[in-house]
Amino acid sequence: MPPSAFPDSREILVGVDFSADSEAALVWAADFASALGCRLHVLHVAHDPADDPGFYRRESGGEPVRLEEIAKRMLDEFLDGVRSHCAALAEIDVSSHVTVGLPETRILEYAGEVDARLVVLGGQGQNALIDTLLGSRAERVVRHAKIPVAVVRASESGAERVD
Amino acid sequence: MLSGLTDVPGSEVQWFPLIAAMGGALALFLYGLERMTRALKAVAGSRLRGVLEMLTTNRLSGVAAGAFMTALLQSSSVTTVLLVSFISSGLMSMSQSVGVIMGANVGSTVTAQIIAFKVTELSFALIGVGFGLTLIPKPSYLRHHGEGILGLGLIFLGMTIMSDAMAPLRDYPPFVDWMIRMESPALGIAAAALFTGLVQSSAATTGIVIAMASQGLLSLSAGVALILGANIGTCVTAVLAAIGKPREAVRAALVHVLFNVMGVLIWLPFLGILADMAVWLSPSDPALAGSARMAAETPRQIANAHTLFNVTNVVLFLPFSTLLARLVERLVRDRPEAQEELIRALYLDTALLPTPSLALDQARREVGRLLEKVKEIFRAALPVVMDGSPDKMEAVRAQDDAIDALHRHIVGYLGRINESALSDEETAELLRLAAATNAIENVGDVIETDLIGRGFTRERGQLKISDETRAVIRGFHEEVGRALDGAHLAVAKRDSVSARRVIAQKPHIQQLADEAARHQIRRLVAHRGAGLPEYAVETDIVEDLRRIYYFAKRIAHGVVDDEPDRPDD
Repeated sequence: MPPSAFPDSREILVGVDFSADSEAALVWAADFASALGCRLHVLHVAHDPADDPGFYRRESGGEPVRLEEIAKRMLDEFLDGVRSHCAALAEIDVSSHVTVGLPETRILEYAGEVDARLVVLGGQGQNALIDTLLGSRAERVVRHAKIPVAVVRASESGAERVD
Repeated sequence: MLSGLTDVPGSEVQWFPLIAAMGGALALFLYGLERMTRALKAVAGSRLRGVLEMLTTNRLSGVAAGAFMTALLQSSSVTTVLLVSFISSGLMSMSQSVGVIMGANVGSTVTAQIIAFKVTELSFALIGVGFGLTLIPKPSYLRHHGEGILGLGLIFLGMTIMSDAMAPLRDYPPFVDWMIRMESPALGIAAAALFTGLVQSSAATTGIVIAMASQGLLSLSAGVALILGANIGTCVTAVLAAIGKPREAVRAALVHVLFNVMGVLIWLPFLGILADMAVWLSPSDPALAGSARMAAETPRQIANAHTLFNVTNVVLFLPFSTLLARLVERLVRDRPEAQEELIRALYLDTALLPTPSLALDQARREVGRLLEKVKEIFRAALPVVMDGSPDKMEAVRAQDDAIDALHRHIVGYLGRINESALSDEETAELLRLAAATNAIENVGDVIETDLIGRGFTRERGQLKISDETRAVIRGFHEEVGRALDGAHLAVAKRDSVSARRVIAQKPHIQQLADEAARHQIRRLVAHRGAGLPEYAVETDIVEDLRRIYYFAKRIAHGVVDDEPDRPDD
């Protein structure tokens, strides 16, 4: 009998960068976690995109605040927005976490820390052109992950972006 | 100016006087530059942080910010050190710094433009006027401006002496041959990069190059190669500043290195074109001939070549800045995330100590962070004091260790800031921050020693706090919590409105304390004195909360510069 594809862990990790695809990933991950009775870990890696410097600073309203603190606020708002239209997210056990570094590195590290059985990511980040030219972070996670990775794209009808 | 050195027969050179004059003149030049930079930092220091933070939201504004700041401070090294510091504190990202680093290169060309002016007579006037202004005690901005003008005069004087000291070398064949060899770009770039890396100052290299050019000792080609080498050598400062810093700061230093090295490599086959463009842009003196003409024209040509080189590099590289940023991310990987050290100071960067206004800004941030941590244990303390187990109370109590450690870091840092020459405003700010830090640490001690102690008393005596009393104490706790929030805003943002709001809470706090006291007395009477142990614990809890409010008020007073009341006033 082959080993079970799903180990005993009941943790699912979803990485979000506030893009439409990552919102779709979060909704999908919440539904999946709800169906399997798993705990959902929502991770945001605070990292100014190379093509969009000041991504966090613009949200600070000019306050001299650490980017990580701004990212925490943004994640809270993002989660509140998704909860308003995703019933599953409101029903399951969710923990959120913000860290700093390169997204592909920290996602894999955190997956190990929480003993995740599955990582869920959005297909493309904030800049589709750069991701197409240089490879997306999701692709790099898939390449290096030792556990299954689900890559979710926003549907053609468009997942409603939470503002 | 140095006629003794120029009275040399034939090709003889008096080496000792020449080297002594060169060394002394270079020291004078660098001293003048240091004084001018210090004055500019004093005048504009805290505003520079604002410029950097507000303008680094897109690449173009970052370039403008970097150029402006470096031109103002006359040092790309200072700009780079500031960037590394802000990135290490988590206030900026490497991505934001790319444009600033490119702009800093442009700003650094202002030094060469200034010292290319032949202003021997002006140097003495600047020294006189500048020194005179520094003697005026108030207002302080006159002293700072005087220091800046004095520094500028010393720069020009140092340049003049350096230039005169090198005059004998015009007739010294081995030196002339060596200068001709400097026209080989690779040799010139390498020599200047090495020299600049060793002395940690591209301004020093620039000063020597222009001084030599003003004596006709250096051709434009050789001067351009040397200036480009200085561009590379100055990267050493960025690399040194990033040692031991987070990976994001190391990436920023690598951006600096790559931008400068790649810029030089791209221009290497086109140095002749660069020189021609510089000649075209620069004023000429056709009335002169030979080495006299070279001496008159070359300094400005070198300065313009330097500016042209850096401006065109920004134009070339800016569209590719995203790729540059992604490249350094691939080259500098993350280290495993360390467990968060509760006691690690995030903002207290020693690299900022030479700029007291910026160091005080960072200290204020750290003080805000200290107060944030105290607020966390304040919120966590009351539930465990009224209901928690000994383990939970110990866990909250242990958090005060981090408070104490961070308090020590901040006090140590403020002490080091105090070792610099501070303006009156900076001294006042330092004292305010020191007082606030101590008051915050006192809040932590009240929670750790007294408040948690009441919890242990409650637990040991198996005392039960009634629901009504809990509600009263909770209400009081919330009000004191609001005072701590207000004090936090007051300190972190120098917000006097929040500070006055905290101070204005005093009557309400007193009223709540009185109501709590009356409530407890009524209950004691109702139980005919049977609840005396509970009464003692509850009264002590209220008193501890009242003392915490008074420390919050003391912090707020510091912001509005009033005399703080004593806790029992």
